Amino acid sequence: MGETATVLREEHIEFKKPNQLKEIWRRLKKDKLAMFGLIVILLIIVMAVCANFAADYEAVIKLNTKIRLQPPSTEHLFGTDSYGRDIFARCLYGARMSLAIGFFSAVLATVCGSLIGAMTGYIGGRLDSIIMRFLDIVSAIPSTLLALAVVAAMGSGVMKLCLALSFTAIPGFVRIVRSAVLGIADQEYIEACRAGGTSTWRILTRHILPNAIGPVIVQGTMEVSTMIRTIATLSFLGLGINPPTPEWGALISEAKEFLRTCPSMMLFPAGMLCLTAFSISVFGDGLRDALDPRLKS
Amino acid sequence: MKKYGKSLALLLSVILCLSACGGSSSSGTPAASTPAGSAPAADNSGRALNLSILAALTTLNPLNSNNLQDTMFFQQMNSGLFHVNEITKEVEPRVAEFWTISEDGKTYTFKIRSNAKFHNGDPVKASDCVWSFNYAMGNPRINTYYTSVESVEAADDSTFIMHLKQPNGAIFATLSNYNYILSEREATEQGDSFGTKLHTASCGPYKLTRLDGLDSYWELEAFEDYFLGAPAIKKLTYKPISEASAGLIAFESGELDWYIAPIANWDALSANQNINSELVPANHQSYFIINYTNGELKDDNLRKAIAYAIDKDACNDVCYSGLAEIAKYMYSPAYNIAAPEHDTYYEYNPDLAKEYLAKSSMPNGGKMSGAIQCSAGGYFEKMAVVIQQNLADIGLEVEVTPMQSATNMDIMRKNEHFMGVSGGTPTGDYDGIRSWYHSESAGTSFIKFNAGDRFDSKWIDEMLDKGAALSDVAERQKIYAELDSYVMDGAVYLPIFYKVQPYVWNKDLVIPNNYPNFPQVAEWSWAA
Amino acid sequence: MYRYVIKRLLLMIPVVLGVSFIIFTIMYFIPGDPASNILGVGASPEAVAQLNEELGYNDPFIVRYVNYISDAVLHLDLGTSYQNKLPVTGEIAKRLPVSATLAFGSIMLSLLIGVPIGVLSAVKQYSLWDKIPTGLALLVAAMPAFIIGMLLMLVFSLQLGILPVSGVTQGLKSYILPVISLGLPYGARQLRFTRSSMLETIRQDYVRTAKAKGASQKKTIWGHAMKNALMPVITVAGTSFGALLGGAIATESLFGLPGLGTYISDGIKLKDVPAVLGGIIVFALLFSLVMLAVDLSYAFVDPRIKARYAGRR
Repeated sequence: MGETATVLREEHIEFKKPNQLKEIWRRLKKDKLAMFGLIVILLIIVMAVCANFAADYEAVIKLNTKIRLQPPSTEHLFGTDSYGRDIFARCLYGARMSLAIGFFSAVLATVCGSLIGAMTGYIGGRLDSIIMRFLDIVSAIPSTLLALAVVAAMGSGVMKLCLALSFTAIPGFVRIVRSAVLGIADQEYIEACRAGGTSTWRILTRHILPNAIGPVIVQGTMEVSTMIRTIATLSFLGLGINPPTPEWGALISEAKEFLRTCPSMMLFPAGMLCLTAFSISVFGDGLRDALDPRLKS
Repeated sequence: MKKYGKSLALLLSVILCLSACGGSSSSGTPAASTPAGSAPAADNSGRALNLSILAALTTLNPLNSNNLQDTMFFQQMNSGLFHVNEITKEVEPRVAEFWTISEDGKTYTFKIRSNAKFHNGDPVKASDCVWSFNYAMGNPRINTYYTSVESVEAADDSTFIMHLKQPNGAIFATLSNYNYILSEREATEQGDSFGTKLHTASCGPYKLTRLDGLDSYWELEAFEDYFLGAPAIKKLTYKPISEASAGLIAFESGELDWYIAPIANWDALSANQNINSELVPANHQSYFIINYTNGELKDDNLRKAIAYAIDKDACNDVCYSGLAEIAKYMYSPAYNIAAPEHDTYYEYNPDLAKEYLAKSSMPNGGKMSGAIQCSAGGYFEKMAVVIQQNLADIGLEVEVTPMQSATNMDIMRKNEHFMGVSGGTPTGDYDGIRSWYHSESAGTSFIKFNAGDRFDSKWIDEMLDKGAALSDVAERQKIYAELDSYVMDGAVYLPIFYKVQPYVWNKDLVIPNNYPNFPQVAEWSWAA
Repeated sequence: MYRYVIKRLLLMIPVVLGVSFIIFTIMYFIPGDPASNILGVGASPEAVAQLNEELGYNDPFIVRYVNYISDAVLHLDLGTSYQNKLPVTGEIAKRLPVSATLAFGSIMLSLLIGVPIGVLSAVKQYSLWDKIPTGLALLVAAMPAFIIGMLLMLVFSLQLGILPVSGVTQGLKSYILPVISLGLPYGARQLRFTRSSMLETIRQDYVRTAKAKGASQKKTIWGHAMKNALMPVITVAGTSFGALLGGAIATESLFGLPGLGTYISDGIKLKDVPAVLGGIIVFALLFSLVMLAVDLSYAFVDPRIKARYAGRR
């Protein structure tokens, strides 16, 4: 049985080769929901990048109190907010900020967290203890509170927020990867590799990490939307990005006061946030399935 | 497949059961099951009045806080020697039955009511008043209101004498919300812990009977021995709700009987026939601060350019749905004794703003070296954003930096801010502006008039003292008009609007007067 | 095993010290001094200076930290709140049950939703039993808890009038809405982890073997696969529970629950250093205990890990 396992794994660890990528893509294409997610993400990214062509930045900040809190119309596709600003333009430009924060913090946390998690889980011993103790310290501080305190101490800023947020998310990744690794590291084929003299780095990157990739992708994609939502929560508590810069969380927070009188103000940014987070997640799920060779029929 | 369907169904039914149980156990509390307006015909005499404030209490010692939310609560539980009616501006006797003022205007002799009692049953004596006044004068949180009091003494058990440093026509208004009388015996017995736990050392219309922490829930009962007669409503409950939208839902679902509603919902509320509502202008001004000691703001023309660039109507629209009153002066003449009207004020005039800008050190506009700061999340932040755009319209580029309230206050008090948005509650007499203008209150105000040679701070101090020493309101107004236009001409404090209180209350509740700042529950009653 | 537990308990000391040090440092950099904060707007500069001196604000950073820690350790005294002069220890003791009830309820609800549906959707991968719950879960997970909370309020309190909006005065009933508004997104999260972990497991060889040997589907799933798929489920539930003890700030503040999270966040806003430090230290202690419980539960699920724990001294 040990032998079969080895053969199986050897097959899939080579997934980086071009023909393997093609294979993954082929499998991914079959998953309609994942493709839907991918298309939506790409669309939103394109929208965010090309926001200038759809609306002038002037429309994002220019106030006009004569047209406050209007429902959607042909002139203002998503209606106007309490300052009389165009919500469509604000959502569009808001996508830039939210996506940038979400992706940047999540990628940073994923990369750092997975590497640390794999290393500490596999090598174990003293290194494991030290790293885990330090991460215990970090994870023993609630992330929103840590971000709040950091913002209170340093003042708010996009970069500072990103760093504080990803820092607080790292322990989560470490724990998940580590627990996956703990389950794998004892398996026969790893021991076979070790006995065969394969270097630790190679075992880590070629055998261990690929096996933990499922949970990591799931967590990583979830994290993008978590980050976007954490910023929204910070905005809800009154500490997000400085106004009048649009960001979905800020738009949602501004809208909460008018939830009952002008629901469109909440509907569109919240809808875009949900749609984005949803798309990222279904894409993540699909990718995870596609990466897993055991689904090959 | 079938099996999972079964277990799903089981799960669903468990959830349904749980929520059903939650629902059925609810009917016990009368407050929750009576939606606002649809009153039961039953007799209301024993009905509890459910109220809320926006934050946890910081203390139960009324002489240890000047916090607005605390004061809303203290007013029901405590009583002072006297009280200035917020609407009529008349001084009403409370613990003091009457008083006399010496000819030089410096000695006030108060006669204590013989039937005044503390909630613990002790009679109110002059010695309690002496203790309370001395305590307040020694407490930095509120002693700013006592600056003109020299000393106090008890002539006998029912005669209390207050000596002033100089005559002060504003003393009643200044002390109105801060001259609570406490039981010396009980307060000293509780010592350091006084204010943190349940006490009966107050002598107001309602007596505290239950306290679930300062942050959760508390109950009061009508004090039957209250010297003005026991209030009509026999029981009050309070809980803090910091989220205004949640508070409004609590009111609409009948959990609360009275509420200061969020302004965004006013249109629907004022049209709702099932509730009572009244929009009352508050004695509170929101203002913009330009720190004239900082960078390019030293330039008078630049400050005036800013002053004329601010669209107060737009601020009002965005912050208060256009329902607030545009402010010409820092102290509203409508609610403050001796508050003057004069011709030095700023109205939105972008052309004039551009003219001043052209004469200033930044003739072509551009990026300013500092930011507009404010505490985050509330309408001050919105106002900052509006003003940011107003300034952009004349070519001045400036950041808005919302901060946590303590940080914001700290920077402003140290006068390290550039520009900012804030608000304040006057005492009811123009003399209260002392805490903004007087050089001795420099640690608390956001502009130091003695920091440079732009303002003659000595003259400002003199004018304040001169005005306070007079008792004739017209004469005081004349002096204050001179002072106020002098400060206004410097364009450092720019009043934007006086906010409004969107009061809403239960149809069963009779409220004779809606005061601008502090509701007086003792006057309220249930409809027959 | 016992030695492992004792070792882990001892290791909590550096964690708590580390947490308190990090927070103490951050609070140090928040502008403002305690006395102006305590004394408020009317304070004279002299009174402020004097009180700051009494509070030891002028001592060097390290001296202040050591003083604080020695008080906390030797006298179990977390100090007195600057804001309301109440002892921090007592305030936390009062708020902890509120946070614990909220966290426990939410996690229980998240497990009730997440685990069965997660298993179901893994077993029926690609069927409608998979796609619909997963899709819904992803949608719910995308919504910030405070938005769910506000919608619930509008429906259950305003429209139906059956549940209270704010405070804890109506006992457990007060917790229903907050628990749902946190339990839904956490349940969605749990669902996804359960599903993906279950998928991993049912593709493992021993499950195939069990199936091949003719074990019933029910027995394979619940008997073999579930036990192994449990680890990530426990991890997620444990971390979430721990985090919610102090991290449910937006929900606590929306529903007016006097919990630990709002205590700390209000403390940060008002620069109430003793409240923030005390709150976070207690939170860190509890969180470490929950994490220990999570790690121990691994041992019960997986004998190999138990062996590893026992092997370590």
